[in-house]
Amino acid sequence: MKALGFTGERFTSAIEGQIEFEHIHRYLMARDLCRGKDVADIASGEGYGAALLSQVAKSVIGVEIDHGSVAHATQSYPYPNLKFVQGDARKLPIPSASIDIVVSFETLEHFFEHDEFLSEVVRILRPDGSLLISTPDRDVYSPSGRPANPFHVHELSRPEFLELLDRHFSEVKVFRQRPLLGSVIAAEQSRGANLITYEKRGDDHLEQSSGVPRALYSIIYAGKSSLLQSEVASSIYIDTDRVDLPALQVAEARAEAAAARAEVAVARGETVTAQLQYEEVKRQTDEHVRALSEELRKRQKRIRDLERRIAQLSEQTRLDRGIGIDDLVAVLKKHPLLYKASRVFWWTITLQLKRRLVERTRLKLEFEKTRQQARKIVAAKLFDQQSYLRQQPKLAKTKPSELDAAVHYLTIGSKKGKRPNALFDPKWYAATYPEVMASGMEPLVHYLQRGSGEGRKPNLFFDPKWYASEYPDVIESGMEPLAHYLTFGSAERRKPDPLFDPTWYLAEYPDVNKTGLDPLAHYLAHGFPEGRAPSLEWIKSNNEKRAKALGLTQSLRSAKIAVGIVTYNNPPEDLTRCLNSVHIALRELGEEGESAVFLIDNGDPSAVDISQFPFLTRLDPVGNVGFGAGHNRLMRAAFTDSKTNYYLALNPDGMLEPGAISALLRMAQGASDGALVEGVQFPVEHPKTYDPIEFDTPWASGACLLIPRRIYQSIGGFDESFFMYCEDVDLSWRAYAAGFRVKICPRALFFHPTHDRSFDLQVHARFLAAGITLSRKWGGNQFEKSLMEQGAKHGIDLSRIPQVEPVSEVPSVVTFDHGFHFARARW
Amino acid sequence: MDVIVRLHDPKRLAELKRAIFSLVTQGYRPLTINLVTQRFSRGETEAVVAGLRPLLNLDPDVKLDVWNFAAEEPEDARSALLNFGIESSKGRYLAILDYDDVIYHDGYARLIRELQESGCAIAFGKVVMKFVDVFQDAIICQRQQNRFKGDGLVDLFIDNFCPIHSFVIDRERVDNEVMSFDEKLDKLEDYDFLIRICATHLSSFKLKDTVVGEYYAKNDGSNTIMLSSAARVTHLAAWTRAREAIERRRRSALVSREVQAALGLQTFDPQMSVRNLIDAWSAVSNKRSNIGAI
Repeated sequence: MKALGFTGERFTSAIEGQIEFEHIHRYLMARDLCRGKDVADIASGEGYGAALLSQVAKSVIGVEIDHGSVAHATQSYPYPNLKFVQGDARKLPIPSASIDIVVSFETLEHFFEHDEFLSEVVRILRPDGSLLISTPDRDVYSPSGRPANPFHVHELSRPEFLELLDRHFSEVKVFRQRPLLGSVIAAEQSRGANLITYEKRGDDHLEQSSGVPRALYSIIYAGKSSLLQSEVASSIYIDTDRVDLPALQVAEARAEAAAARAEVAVARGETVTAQLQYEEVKRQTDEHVRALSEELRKRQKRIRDLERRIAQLSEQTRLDRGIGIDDLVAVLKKHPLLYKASRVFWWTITLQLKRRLVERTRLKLEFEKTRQQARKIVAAKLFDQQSYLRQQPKLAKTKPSELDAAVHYLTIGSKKGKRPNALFDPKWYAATYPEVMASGMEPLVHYLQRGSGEGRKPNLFFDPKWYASEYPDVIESGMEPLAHYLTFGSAERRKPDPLFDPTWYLAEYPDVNKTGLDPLAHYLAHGFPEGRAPSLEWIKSNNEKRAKALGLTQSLRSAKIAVGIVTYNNPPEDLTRCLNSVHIALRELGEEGESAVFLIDNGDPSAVDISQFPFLTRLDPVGNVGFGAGHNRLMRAAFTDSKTNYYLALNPDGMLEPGAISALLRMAQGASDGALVEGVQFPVEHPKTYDPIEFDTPWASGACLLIPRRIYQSIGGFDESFFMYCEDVDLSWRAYAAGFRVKICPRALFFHPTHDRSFDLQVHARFLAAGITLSRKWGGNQFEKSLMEQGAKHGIDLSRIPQVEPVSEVPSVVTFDHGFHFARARW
Repeated sequence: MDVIVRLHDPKRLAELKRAIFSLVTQGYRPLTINLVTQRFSRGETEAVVAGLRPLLNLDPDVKLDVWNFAAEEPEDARSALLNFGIESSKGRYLAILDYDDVIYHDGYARLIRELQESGCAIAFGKVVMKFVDVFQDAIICQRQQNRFKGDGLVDLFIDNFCPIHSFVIDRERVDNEVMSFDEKLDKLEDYDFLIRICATHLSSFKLKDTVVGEYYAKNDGSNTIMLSSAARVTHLAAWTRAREAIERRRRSALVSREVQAALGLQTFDPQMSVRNLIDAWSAVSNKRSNIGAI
């Protein structure tokens, strides 16, 4: 019987060497325990182990999930007391209390449901039954840096394995197994049994002995004391290098085998595809050859007829007969190269013709469909030929009909973002309504057939529903609203949208008149990119919203602010500059006397002249506890004073613009203290996006961050799982999750110096660690994976980053799609 | 070091504060800001100074001098303001910053270090363009572009890619006669100035890829460069005149011996104008490595 092929993981009888030693040894150990008993071998694989056990057991049942392996084992080992069944280790196909001993080697690591499996084992065991089970020790088998076994989904460490067994069995005895190349020295035992040797002495010869049989050497430890013998332990000498190297090679071989299997699978798929393609081409070619042969036969017949006719005519006119096709072939056959070239030429021409005919038919059908769609958009007056041809000067030179131009738009122009009329923007439409792209429909066709009726806008400032309700004659006309505006509404200066006023726009920007464009068309093409306003209502509306969001529509309430600074070996001049800016900003606010500044040194004590800053409170340093943990200490101290309303986290290397604290406070109070408020970093802003009217931003930097007491009381300070970096992103997302908002204040400038730093491995490692912690907490699995890969690339050990509790409800602002920006970037 | 800041409109205090804040954060000292205003009343000047005082309190080593240009002519005194500022500046190093732009904190220190190391008369850095929406109560950066692109001196002669705050001048190495702006120009006056100074003095573009500041392209039409279609219609003729004046300057400004040598020209041509240089460059543009960036 041929052995089952090696997959890269499962041991089969085709494999020799290290894996064989490990597996055979375990089964030999089990064999001694199985004498005369009913045995179950779970994950029996190729079946060799169960067969070994069946030599001494009363009965053996091998359970294996792979149908192929079960069939192979049944055929290979047809013993009366041995049977193999297909089944899942987590739902064993064996009756309860029917087994004396369960054997399961290297099974657990292939699935997650370990407790489920062991419960099943307990179920099938008789009350006095036992289990012999093995699994690789993750700490030894898969250390950092060694290629992972791609077949293992959940390896356990020794303590985890022991803990698992303790949950299901009251008595547990642990054995440790490792391969070795070396020497054994064992004391001769008069009573034997303490050391058993299994020895493979040939393909069909396994021998079991007590002690060390056929020892090459005898060693005697002699003396006159009776205690002497007990001082000498039996020992094993191992040459690690010569054992681990093969082990590593095995691991690498496993990875290579897995990769090779994947390649084979792909190649097999490609082969099947290629075969199908080949058969299809062959079928078409045969068909074509038949047709051509028929044609050739007809033509040859015709040539023969003509030749006969020529012969007759020649006879009649006494002229020489012309040369026929057969003569030509005969001549060509005398010149093999020429003949071969002629045949290649002939077949090339005929095959290409065939392909082109098929393609032409397909295109013809598509073209007819497109023409129908073009007729519809022309009939609906949504296609403006002149406007379109202005964007396509080359096409304009060919003077196409309106229908042909519309077809050109549908087939070419739309994909290039050209507009079918002045107001329909296919790019904007597709980007605004992603489902349009998913539908596979051209945007204008989608708008005409579905979008308009559903109230979708064709551009930023045309509202078809509002237009139809504002002007009742539109519905009476039966026209699509945008088509009506293009045909009548624009000339009548009707408003296309409540927030676009064509009359105001023309008066505000007189140059628009000279362009001859529809005001909305001008706004979309030029005004919007130039930052012009669409209407007075829009300006007023946005200004009111903006002023409200900035807190400018209400008077500033008196407040006690605590400024917190965490230092780490900052130059004294930087810190002095920062403290001075705080002093001035508080003075500008008028709260200088009421407010306080707290400072903690995570590094060496800061060498600042305290006498310059009487408002400064220094907390006793507790070492480098991290950025967030440092601020948490300061926040606790600050909010201990019940009068303190706000905590302002500030980086020590920056500087506040004098009006910054006032601006931050106004914005926080404008949001009823329900928003974290970040100062804008100056002059190099962080590129993350924010709303230009409400100033909401996906997260706020901790470099200059105002935290109202209300939010602190609700969500606490920074998560100290983060040592440095990303703790501010986490705090922001927690604020969103708790129903608060996060804003950036463009009026509060915080000078934040940026430096060209060369790559620093330690800093990079901290970034990666923080990103991984954030990913684990907020569900950024792919991001975590990419960071782990980055770490591996730079040789950074990221295996010890502690696990964190994942957040159950993730707010919509959370994103890992933009790298460490954690938000769409403006640039 | 002196930095000339020109201001035409007292209502633009919010933008001026950003510019001054960026100057206060500079690492280079001593630094004097020469704020040159155009026909401000006493009250307007006092209001501006009062508005800036808290900023100046951040660092007493930064000095502010305010100079008001009071003459009635010319109406747009942008060049005259700069000349006024140059006359008032006494330091060795000179830079110019418009009220609505900003310079990075280490920008001047880097450029001055380059001047000291290269021995050049003028050193250029890179400026990026930020598109900003200006509101009464906030300035919002919408996007950023790298609009000012060029490799070196010949590129500068072909077209200006160096905004007015992208360079620092070492006045000890520049002849006084070129240290003034042409007051007949109310557009491209800074480009005209750069053509004259760079045709006759050594310039360094070593920091051409190092960002030293930001140019704010604003949505309210207050930029002087052509950004909006409104500006295009209104000022088209004026821009055309300015470009013609620049071309005249290219034809009249002669390239000095030391600049020709620095460009790699083997033989000195005393009659070589900036225009001749550009034409020669265009003719051998496929051999750009031989002539071009210093």
